Amino acid sequence: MAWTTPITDRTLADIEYAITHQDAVLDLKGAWNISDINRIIDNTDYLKTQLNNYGYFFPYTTLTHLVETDFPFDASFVTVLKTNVISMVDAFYKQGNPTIVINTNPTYTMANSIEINLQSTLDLLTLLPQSFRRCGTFSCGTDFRL
Amino acid sequence: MKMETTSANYKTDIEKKLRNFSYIKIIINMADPTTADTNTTVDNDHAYFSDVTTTDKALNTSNTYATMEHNRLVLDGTQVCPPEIGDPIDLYQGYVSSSISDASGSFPISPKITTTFPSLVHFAALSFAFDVATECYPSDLQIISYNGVTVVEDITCHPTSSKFITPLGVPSSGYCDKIEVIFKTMVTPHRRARMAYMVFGLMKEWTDSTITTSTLKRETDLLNSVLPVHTLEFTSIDVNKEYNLDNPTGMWQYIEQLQPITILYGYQLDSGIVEWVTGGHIFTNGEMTSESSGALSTITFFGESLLEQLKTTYYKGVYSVAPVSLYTLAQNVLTFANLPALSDGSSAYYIDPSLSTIMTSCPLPEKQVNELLQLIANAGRCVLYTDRDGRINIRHIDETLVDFTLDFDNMKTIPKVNKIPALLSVSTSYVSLKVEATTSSMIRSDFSLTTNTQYTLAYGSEAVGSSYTVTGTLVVVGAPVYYAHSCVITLNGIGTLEVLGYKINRSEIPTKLMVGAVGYDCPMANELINNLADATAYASWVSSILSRSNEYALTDRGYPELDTLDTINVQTLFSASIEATVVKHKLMYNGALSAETTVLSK
Repeated sequence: MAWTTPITDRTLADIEYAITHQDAVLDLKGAWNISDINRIIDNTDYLKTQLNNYGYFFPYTTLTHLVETDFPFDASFVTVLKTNVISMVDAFYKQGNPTIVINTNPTYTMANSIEINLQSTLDLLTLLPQSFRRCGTFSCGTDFRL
Repeated sequence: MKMETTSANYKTDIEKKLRNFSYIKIIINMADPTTADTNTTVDNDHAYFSDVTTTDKALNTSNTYATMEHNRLVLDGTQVCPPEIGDPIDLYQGYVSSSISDASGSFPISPKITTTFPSLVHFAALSFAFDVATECYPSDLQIISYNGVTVVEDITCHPTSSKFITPLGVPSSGYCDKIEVIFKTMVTPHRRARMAYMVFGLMKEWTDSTITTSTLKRETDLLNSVLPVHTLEFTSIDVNKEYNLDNPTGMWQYIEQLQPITILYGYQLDSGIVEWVTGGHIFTNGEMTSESSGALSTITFFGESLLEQLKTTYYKGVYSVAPVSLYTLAQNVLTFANLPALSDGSSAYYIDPSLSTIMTSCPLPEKQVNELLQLIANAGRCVLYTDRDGRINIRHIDETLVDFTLDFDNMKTIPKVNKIPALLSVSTSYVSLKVEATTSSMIRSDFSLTTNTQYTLAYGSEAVGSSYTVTGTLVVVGAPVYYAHSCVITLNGIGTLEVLGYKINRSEIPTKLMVGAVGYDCPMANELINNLADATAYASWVSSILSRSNEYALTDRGYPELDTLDTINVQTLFSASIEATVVKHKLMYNGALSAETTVLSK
């Protein structure tokens, strides 16, 4: 699954625009559309695969893409969507990540939080190989300069 | 009581020195209330949380379930993720179709709602609320009226907002016994058909654009010595003289007694959003006044709480050797009153569970339902009032302090103080009942009847163990029902009826609770109390209320979220803050809010 740039900067103005432009042809930033939810599913899946490759494992429930006629069920879908992201950042690293609240109605801050966590995890994951050192370049257990 | 919940921004913004705009919205449901109970409504396609059967109850969908139609799930926090299929549906959603309209707004199979009536009907209009949350509605709505299998009328309406009233009657002439409502095209593509309500009649909404004045008055006596007051009076400009009482085709003829009124107050926050506070749910009392001055015509409507309109006399009081609880008595009276459910479908009354521990053998007197509830609440040491939802409450006062202060910044006048005199004692009494050992004649009367006729015969005094004798050809049809003050009996023939019963003699045993060293003695008794323990507790409760020291009357900037019985902080000339209970609140709107508030210090 390929990575897609997340949306992390929704504002109240986007919400007000979405309320007054319900007939817009394009997906509005202030609304949670199928494209947004499926992007989160794909990005979480992408990060999960990458982290597994690096040896990070965590509880994860695979979700399938939503279509227009589906319902974003509270327990079996939205909570699972959030829990997957929470499990992932808990198993890896966090750097001031915003909290993802489970039992809340969908808000723009909640949607931003989910995707900021995903973006932050990708950023850290990208830096991860730079911290790797070749075997034999370090010794340990001595006070003497080598 | 706990005042109505408002947002943090509301609390800050309403205290600004120069307030933002205030708004008002008053909705009267002018539908025939009996129609909603007798029709049958079905649909041809619905989502699992849809409920088409109650769309005629004029319920509102305060929060809708989130769905994945294009751009509908706005991230404003008002939409709730839906429960799993098969789990309880906590939020009323009205009708929601399963199918979704295409890019042109049309459906593969048009969602259809069919309502059948047990008899022929004609409606002044049909009032609809569609998807109000996202302002989505059908641009083409077909309404077909049938009389049997014959089409009486087939019209297509073109709503222009999510709330819509048909411009003509349905059918426009004649009668029908079935109506089909068909969603042909939605104004927004890729949407389900949604309908919060379909009212068989007018659901008229007045707003600040025509309302000139409005007064919502609430008064609650902590001792229930008088019935609580909960009334609304509002005047609106009657643009087309639709409600002028001299207009022979005027809408006034659709205003009856007991039609639900919803009052909403709005305040514009600094963000521009208007936050709405429900002012209350009350009922029309059938009273109206129209005035005309030149081209300008105004109409004034009056409303009262359901409690104030419960004036039917309850006659079913009985003496029972084994005492019954005040809770049971209150339930009996409220069941007799046959209250309609509230607009959200919940019970129309709440009785404090503590009343189930206070027992009495005394029969309820023959009085109006509301007066009996007042009597029971008083005996139960509770307060009787109607809350914002329109629910009748008998409950103990919750004296928890709410987060609200009336200080010199939001008062318009310095409080006028009324000192309550010191209390010396409370003189009360309890009833001792003695049933006579022999029967007496409770009523004796001659009848000459040719058909079965039902009578309610009142006794001169209370009785138990009643029976009857008849002479001549007079017969009693079925079994008579005997109460303490009367009997209901069906008679036929010619002769004399005599009802016999064991008379109940009442005597009052006085008791006094000393409270202070000086002051006045307050006499107060309740005819339902028949033991010393309850009389003592009653006197103690009375003294606790009468010991409140001062009453403060003031005018303020008007806070729709404030309730009577709220315990708030109040600033006085000599104290930065005292705790006090709101007992009177008169909220006025004339383009801006203001109020007259009376509080009792604790």
